[in-house]
Amino acid sequence: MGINSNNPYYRPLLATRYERIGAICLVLAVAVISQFLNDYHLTLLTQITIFALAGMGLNLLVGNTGLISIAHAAFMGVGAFSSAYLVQNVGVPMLPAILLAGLIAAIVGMVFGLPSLRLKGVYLAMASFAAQIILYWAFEQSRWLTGGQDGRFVDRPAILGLSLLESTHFYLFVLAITVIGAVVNLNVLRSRMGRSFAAVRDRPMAAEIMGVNVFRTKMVAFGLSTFYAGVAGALFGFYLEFVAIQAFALVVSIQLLALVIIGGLGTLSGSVLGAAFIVLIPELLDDITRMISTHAGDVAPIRLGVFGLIIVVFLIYEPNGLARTWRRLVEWGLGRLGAGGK
Amino acid sequence: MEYFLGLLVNGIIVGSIYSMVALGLVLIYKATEVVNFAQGELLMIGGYICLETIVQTGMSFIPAFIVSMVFMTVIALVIERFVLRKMMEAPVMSVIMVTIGIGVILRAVVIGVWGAFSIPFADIFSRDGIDLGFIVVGQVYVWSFVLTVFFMGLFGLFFKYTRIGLVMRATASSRKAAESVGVPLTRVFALAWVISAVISGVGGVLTANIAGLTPELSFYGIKVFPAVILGGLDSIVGATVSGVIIGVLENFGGGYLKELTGIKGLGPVAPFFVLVAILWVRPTGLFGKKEIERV
Amino acid sequence: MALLEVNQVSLAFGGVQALSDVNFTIEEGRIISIIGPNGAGKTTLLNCISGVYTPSGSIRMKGVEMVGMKPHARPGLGVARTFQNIALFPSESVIDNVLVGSDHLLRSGVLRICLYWTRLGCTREEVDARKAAAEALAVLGLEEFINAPVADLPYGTQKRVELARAMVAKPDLLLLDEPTAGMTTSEKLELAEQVKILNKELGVTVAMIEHDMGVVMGISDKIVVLDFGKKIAEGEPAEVMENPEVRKAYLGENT
Repeated sequence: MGINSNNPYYRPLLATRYERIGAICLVLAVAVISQFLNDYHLTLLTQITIFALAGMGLNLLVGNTGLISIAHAAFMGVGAFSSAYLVQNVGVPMLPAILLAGLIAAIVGMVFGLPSLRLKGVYLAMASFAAQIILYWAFEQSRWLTGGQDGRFVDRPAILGLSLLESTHFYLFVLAITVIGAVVNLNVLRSRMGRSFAAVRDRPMAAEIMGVNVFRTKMVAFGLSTFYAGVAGALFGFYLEFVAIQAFALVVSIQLLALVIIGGLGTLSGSVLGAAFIVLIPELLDDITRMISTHAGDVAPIRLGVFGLIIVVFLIYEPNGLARTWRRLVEWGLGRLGAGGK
Repeated sequence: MEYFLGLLVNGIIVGSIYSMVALGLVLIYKATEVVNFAQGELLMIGGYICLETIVQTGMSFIPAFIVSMVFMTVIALVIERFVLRKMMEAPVMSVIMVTIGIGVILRAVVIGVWGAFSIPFADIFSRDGIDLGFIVVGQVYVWSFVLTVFFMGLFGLFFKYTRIGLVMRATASSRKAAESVGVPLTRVFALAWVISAVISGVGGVLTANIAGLTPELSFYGIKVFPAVILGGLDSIVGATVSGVIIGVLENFGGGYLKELTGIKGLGPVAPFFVLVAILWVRPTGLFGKKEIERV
Repeated sequence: MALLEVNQVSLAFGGVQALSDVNFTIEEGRIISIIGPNGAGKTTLLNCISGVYTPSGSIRMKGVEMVGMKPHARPGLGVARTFQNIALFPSESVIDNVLVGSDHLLRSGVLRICLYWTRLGCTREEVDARKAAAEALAVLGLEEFINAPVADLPYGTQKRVELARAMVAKPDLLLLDEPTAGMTTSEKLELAEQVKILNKELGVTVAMIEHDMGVVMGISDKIVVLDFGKKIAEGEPAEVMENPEVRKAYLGENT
């Protein structure tokens, strides 16, 4: 029997026809719409896309493998600053620089996280916390790399001769990388690695007895997640053509954690929905609070507090996040329409 | 030499506060397997509530202090009742993320109500120093140390000699065994959180005295993490000892290392380097038990 | 030929001696039952073989010393197992649960998995593994549940899924911890038959902890009896059941 999609034992990238059509339509729609957006909306869209990419990585670790990292923003920073440096000071072309940024972020991650992977998940949570604090401090101290509190400018070179100086064109590049990231994510989840992740999350001792190398599985999960963070950070830097350390502070790491919790732990659609939520809700909150209160200073803590509240509420009542809500909605809709979809 | 002693004594005193807060963290971990990421924010809120009580009611310090400890108890009970109890069946990682969320909420409340800037705490202790013979130490510091030792002694006695203390230790040792003997888990967890919150509140008031009242106080609580890793996440003795070690290290880091290397702000970060180093060299800490912590 | 040799195995927890100098062998191709009162140390013994605990003494599988070996390396030696309180992975489907059992046989690294497609990817072995898992499920009569979430299934069905998971590891030695617990009489008969078929037709050596003496006497070639962490008898079913020490250990228990 061949191993093409007609083989009943072949597990497809996306399980249902509706998902496949939906995904393709979404990507095409976003690609087309992005060309006609004004600067402000395009920035929002780019933020959502990049956060979705970072979120996918974090979700592999938190949602699928059941570990916590509160350092995701710091690793994005490692990626952003490394790629900026590589491109500007070392002359590396953009694509390899982005890949290297991911690799460097993964290596830095291992330095902080490796020993805790042998222990209970709690230890990685604390090690990641230490990583966030130490890395942010290191960013502050390394003016030559990061520009300290003032930030640094980032070149956006051409790729393979194609100039990407137009934001709309660069967005398509970001979208492409994110789609590749999504495909890799789905591949990992439908393979042996994905099963190992779930086994480690559900019952690590039984998994170990069944032959799953729990330590190595956690290492792969953590390495992949930091790689995604590095790449997302690099894209972020190239997009803004400027990076400042404040973008990679503890607060952002917590927002990324909120992203995966609210969007839906362990699912790709969760990462995308969560990213949209994380980027758009603050905008909405800002508008609302500006209507209610005239003090601009009041906005920040309200935004922060609402995030915390949402994290707690979702973890208690809807741990599968918006993705579950969305799926229920779609299934209801499909049921009404009488469509099969599979 | 005086500089060295000054750093040392200061380190021990601040470290003793860390020890106390670390104790609270270890307590919750031992009883519930959860690392409370909101421990720092509990410390912060303790300080703010105490000051607010003094300001609003004009009480003198000691009654206000007691009132704020009551508030901390209420907060802990609210957290247990409305959040933790709903998550009894949830995986430990989810509960830890909930504590992160709770910490964020507490911090937002503080910044929203009191603003993000430093407020001087009420002047409780006179500014005069106490002469210890080889150095002069501010009264504030001495009182902090005395109070910390007092509270830790109190809790030590509680765990050793009261029945509830014994029940808590049993639950910490094995949740399943305790459950099967009929120990009311929710009560034990609530108690662990209450004690932890109260300890943090005390720590917050003391730290606010020393450092002033700002939302950054929550980072004092966070600095406790290296202490518990160093001491062993499941070790009460470890928490006590390593809190002091971290306090001393932090002072030396801020003092000597700054002069040696010219790097600023190394003090607060040094304990985290220690955390990472400990995880590489001896992950279960000085006093922790090896088997329990591996998956 | 001895497949598994347990030699002078002892284990203590704090002050409690869970196992004391346990010795026995499991010959290739046989079905042996490990019986004894509750708390005798039967599951603890299985956990030592699986690697959860590190006892003193020796446990050799096909001549290879396992004590001290990491647990996840042991399926590679041909040891598979089921658990007393069903240790399936609740967030996954039935077939994915079963696949975890054979995952240690797959060779693709992270890069191949990320690539997935074409000859450079991992599709071939995934498809083959999935086919084998589906076949194992079919043998146990579970075809209709292949994609069902495992958590919602009835207890007896979950136990069979666990068995399928152990089988796809292509084990030489299958350790079963109370495989018929909670089953109805007819289910027990069915399971006993399935174990017999696995043993006779696929040549799998079976060691099972069992309380149901009907099942034990029905299919075992040999019985090992544990009491208070010590082995008190080892031999053919009929002679073991006549052993006065064995009868004493079971005094007051249902046989």
